[in-house]
Amino acid sequence: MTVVAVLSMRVALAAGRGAATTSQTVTSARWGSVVVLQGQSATSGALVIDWTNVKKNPYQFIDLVNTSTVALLGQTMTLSTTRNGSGNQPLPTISLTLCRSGSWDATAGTCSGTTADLGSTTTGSITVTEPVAVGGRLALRASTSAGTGSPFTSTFSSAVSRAQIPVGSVVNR
Amino acid sequence: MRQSLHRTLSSWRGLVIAFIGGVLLLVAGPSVFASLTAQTSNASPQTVASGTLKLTMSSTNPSAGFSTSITNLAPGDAVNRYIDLTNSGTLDSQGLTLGIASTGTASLITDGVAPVTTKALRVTVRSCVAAWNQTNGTCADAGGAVTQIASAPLSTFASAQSFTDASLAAAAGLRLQIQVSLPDQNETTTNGVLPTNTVQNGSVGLTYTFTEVQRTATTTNS
Repeated sequence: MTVVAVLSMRVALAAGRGAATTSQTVTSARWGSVVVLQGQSATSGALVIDWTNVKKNPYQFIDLVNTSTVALLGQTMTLSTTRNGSGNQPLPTISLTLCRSGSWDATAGTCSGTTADLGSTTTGSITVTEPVAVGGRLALRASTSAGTGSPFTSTFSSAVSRAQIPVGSVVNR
Repeated sequence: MRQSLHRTLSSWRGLVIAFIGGVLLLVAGPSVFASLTAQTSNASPQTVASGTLKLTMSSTNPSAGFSTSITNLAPGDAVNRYIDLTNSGTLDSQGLTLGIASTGTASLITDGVAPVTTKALRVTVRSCVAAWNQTNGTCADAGGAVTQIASAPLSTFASAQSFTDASLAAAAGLRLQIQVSLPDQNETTTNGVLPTNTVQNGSVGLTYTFTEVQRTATTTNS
C-alpha cells in the first residue's frame, strides 16, 4: 500500500493534495461442461459417436464433465442423430441413464451406484438437473434399441446457462 | 633676495593652512549631518509552521481490505471489503474523490454496446459512522449506511468520482465498505467454449486512488 502526500505551494492558487493508492486483482468465474467418452479428459467440442453394431452393442458410456470454476446445478444435453447411409428409416431413439454416486462397468453394463433415467430423444434436448461439483463428472449410459436398422451417428453437445449455476452471493471479508 | 624668500614662504603657508583645514573638515564633517535611529525586536523568534495534508488507508480488521484478490466472481456475486480512510494531516481537506485505474479484460471494465449486452464489474462505496458488521455487511449506526459513491461500472471510475461527504477534518476518517460486484446476466457456454464478448474467466487489475484537496486557504486577522 502506497501513501503519497503532496503539498504544492508553487503558485498562489495551488492547493495541497493528498492521495492514497493501492491495487487489487479481480477475476470472474467461468461455467460450462463437455461430453467425453467414459474416463477421457475434458476437451472442448461436441462428442460424435458412430453406432456401427447396435445389435451387439447398444450402449455407449459417456461422461458429462464440469469444466467450470463453479458448481453446476444442471446442464442441457443436446443430441443430434443422423443415418450414415441413405434411406428413409426413422431415426433411432437415444436414452440417457445416470449412474449416481458410482460408475458404469462398460463390460457388464452395470452401475455401481444407483441409476436414474434422464430422458430419451431422437434429436433434441435433455435437461440434466443433477448437481456437479467443480471438476466433477456425471457417468452416463447412452442406449438405443437393438433393432434400429442401418448405422447412424449421434452428436452429443452440452450447454450451461447462467440459470444452471448458483445464484449470486454477497461475501463480506 | 630676502624679500623674494619671504614671499615664497607666505604662499606655502597658505597652502598648508588650506590642507589642514580640509583634513579637519573631512574628519569632523559627519558629525555635522548625523541623524537619530531607533529599533526594536521581539525577544524570542516567532514560529511559523506549515500544515500537512496526508491521506492514509488501512484495512478494517478483520477485513483483508485491498490486500487480497477477489476471485471467481459469478454473475450476481458481490464482495464487500472494508477500509479506514483517514485524513492524517493537520489540515482540513475537501474534494474527496475515488478514481480506479482498470486494466485487463475489457468486458469486465466497460458495459457492452448493443447488440453486446455484457455488464461490467460495478463498484459501490458506502460509509458507516459506527463500525461495520463484517459478518452481514450492515452498518451498526442508527442512521444506517451512507452511499458515498453510487454503483457504477469500472469504466466510470476512470474519472475520479466525488464522495457525498467530500470534506474531511484533520485527523477525521471514514469507515468505508467497498463493494465490487458482477451484475447478473445471461450467458450460455456450449461444449466448453465460452461465448464471444464473455464476462467469464476474465481478470482485471484495479488501482484505487483516493484523493483529497486542502481546505480553502484563509486569511486570518488576530
